[in-house]
Amino acid sequence: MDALAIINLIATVIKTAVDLTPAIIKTAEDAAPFAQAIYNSLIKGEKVTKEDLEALEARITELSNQLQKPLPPEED
Amino acid sequence: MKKLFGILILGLFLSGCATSGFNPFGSVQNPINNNRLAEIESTYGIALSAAVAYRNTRLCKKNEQASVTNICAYRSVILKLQAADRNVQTALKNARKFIRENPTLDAFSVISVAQQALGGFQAIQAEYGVR
Repeated sequence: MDALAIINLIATVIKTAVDLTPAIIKTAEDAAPFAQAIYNSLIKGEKVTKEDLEALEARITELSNQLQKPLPPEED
Repeated sequence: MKKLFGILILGLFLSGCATSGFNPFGSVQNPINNNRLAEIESTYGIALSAAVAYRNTRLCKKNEQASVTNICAYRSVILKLQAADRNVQTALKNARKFIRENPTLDAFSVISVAQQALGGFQAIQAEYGVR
């Protein structure tokens, strides 16, 4: 199952629409490792290791840093 | 009478174990904690990916309306997402720390707090169509 198929599976479960605009494709690329982790844990029933958690934490920190970047001053 | 006798025997056995240092229940890592935390972190990662894409979208000018044909991001929504993200990060840090320091204990309460914070983040996304 490839990353986009996993995203679609999760999207069906949480009832979120996914369409293929460029921004959403980038979102799908960023979200793929997380979707894979959910698939491994929930569907394949794999045991999560300390290393798995550390990898997830590192990705989340990276994304959070991007979200937290200060906004430019408001234009009048 | 038999039940009372059984309870007394069990109590003696356990107190014996305590003094001898043997723990019949063992010291087993709680694997459920890691899996539950991974599920929340992964769900959050997906939500965060959408939020980052929104953050990187062109900002709407003052009084500009976003629409399907005019894609822009509202500054106020980004600020809300940033605040909600900080809440989730704090809750996740606490959950990770608890699990690292208490690997055999049930982390239900700290994981629940993280789940609630995640719910708050997702609510903002749902309200403003950030996906």
